[in-house]
Amino acid sequence: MFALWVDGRLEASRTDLDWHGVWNDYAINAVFLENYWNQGSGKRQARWFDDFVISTQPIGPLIAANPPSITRTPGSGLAAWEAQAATDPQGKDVVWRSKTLASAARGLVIDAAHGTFMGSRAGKRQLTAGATHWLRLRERNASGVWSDWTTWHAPLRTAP
Amino acid sequence: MNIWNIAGSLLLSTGLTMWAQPRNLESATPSVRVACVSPVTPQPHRPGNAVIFYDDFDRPPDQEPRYFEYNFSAPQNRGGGSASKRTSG
Repeated sequence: MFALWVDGRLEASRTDLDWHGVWNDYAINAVFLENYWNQGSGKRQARWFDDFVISTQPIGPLIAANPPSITRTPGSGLAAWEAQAATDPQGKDVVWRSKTLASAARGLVIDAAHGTFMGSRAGKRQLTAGATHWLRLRERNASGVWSDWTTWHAPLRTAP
Repeated sequence: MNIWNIAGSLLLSTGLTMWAQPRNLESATPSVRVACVSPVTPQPHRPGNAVIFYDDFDRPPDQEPRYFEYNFSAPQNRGGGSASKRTSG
């Protein structure tokens, strides 16, 4: 089986590959971390790796403190932004929505002070302990126009 | 001008009006994403029964390297790597 998961989503998979034929003396003999572009990259680029794991079981999602603290990417040209948390990767149960934050704010805490709990967590003051949540963001530009939401990403599991 | 010509003219003018509407040049695609979530320690992928290898890259750089570095100066490695490393796409 070959499966590629990104941010808790199955992005690609093949289940009909024979990785080793009848050779059973060894398992994995090498893992490559590399950047390859068939015809060469159009510009100089870099990629950073961290917390690299080789495991016989799926890893993740990340275990976050409860309440979780999140940091956003810098973005460009935004005047304000908002965040939401859901208990599923499709956003069927949105359980928290942040207040609108100014562009100077790069992070927030998912708690009642920074937003409102809703859905299955309406009236609560923190996320369910020991549960997986997905996040999404949107931004408002200088003209006051809101962007679409990002896809649900950055899954986290709250500490038990 | 019969009724169909009138209807056609109305449809055409409606289409031209729609075409002439100023388009919203503001991108609806957000430029931000979640960059990171503060983790608690230890994380479940820290060394355990299922973990074969783990590196948080926090080791001092003067320690023995744990990785084979690709040698771009070697002639056989110029131009994109060996066939065994090629990827499609």
